[in-house]
Amino acid sequence: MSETQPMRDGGEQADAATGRGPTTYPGTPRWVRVSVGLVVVLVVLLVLTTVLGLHTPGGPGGHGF
Amino acid sequence: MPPGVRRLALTVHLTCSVGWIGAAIAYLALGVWAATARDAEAVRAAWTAMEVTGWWAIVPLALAALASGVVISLGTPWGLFRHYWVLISLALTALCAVVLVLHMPTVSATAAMLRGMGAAPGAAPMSHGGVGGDLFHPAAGLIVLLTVAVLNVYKPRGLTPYGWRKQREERAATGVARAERDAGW
Repeated sequence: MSETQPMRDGGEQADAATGRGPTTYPGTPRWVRVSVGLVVVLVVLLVLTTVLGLHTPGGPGGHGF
Repeated sequence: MPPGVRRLALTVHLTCSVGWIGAAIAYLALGVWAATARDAEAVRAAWTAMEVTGWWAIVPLALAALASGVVISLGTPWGLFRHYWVLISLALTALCAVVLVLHMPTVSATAAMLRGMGAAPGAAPMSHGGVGGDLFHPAAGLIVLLTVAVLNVYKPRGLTPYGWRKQREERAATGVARAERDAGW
């Protein structure tokens, strides 16, 4: 984990006069959306290669490569 | 969480996490050895070593890393569900631990089968071509563990909806306390 303390997210959008953050959730960060998309693509590829039989047998249970 | 306890938990977490990665690398090396060795004795020895490494090093380190990570998260302002990097690290670590615990009995069964083949009276030289190594699990696990390590070091910003709501509540509480202090209450 961390020695450092968490920064205030959304602070960059804070109102300078009130010091308050945005009143609505700023949304899921781009890096999270990109990471989830990559994982989905990898899982789909894994399923496709398994279904198409491109995996070579091997390893315990024969489900590795 | 008191600073001393936090540093102790952090030390345990870092040691177990890095140890898990190191043990997984050793396991992968044994898996490569088992996959490429032509000597039946070497394959059997590699699988036995993989079994011992898995049960006595990787599984305990994985569970300790997961538990200490949860303790640190809950004991610090980071929280467990407030930041995406913490949440994703938790999910990936838990996934790795579950897959590991589910996979290890298969490793034990394979190692036991190979030992049984070698111990059979009058056993002929064996062909372990159908057994091979165990490469997918340690390789995929290492990729996931290194991803978690990168997340823990870089800590990319991003609050979950829950974390954002809690942050606003804390800001509001801080504002009220400051206003009361300024008013001399």
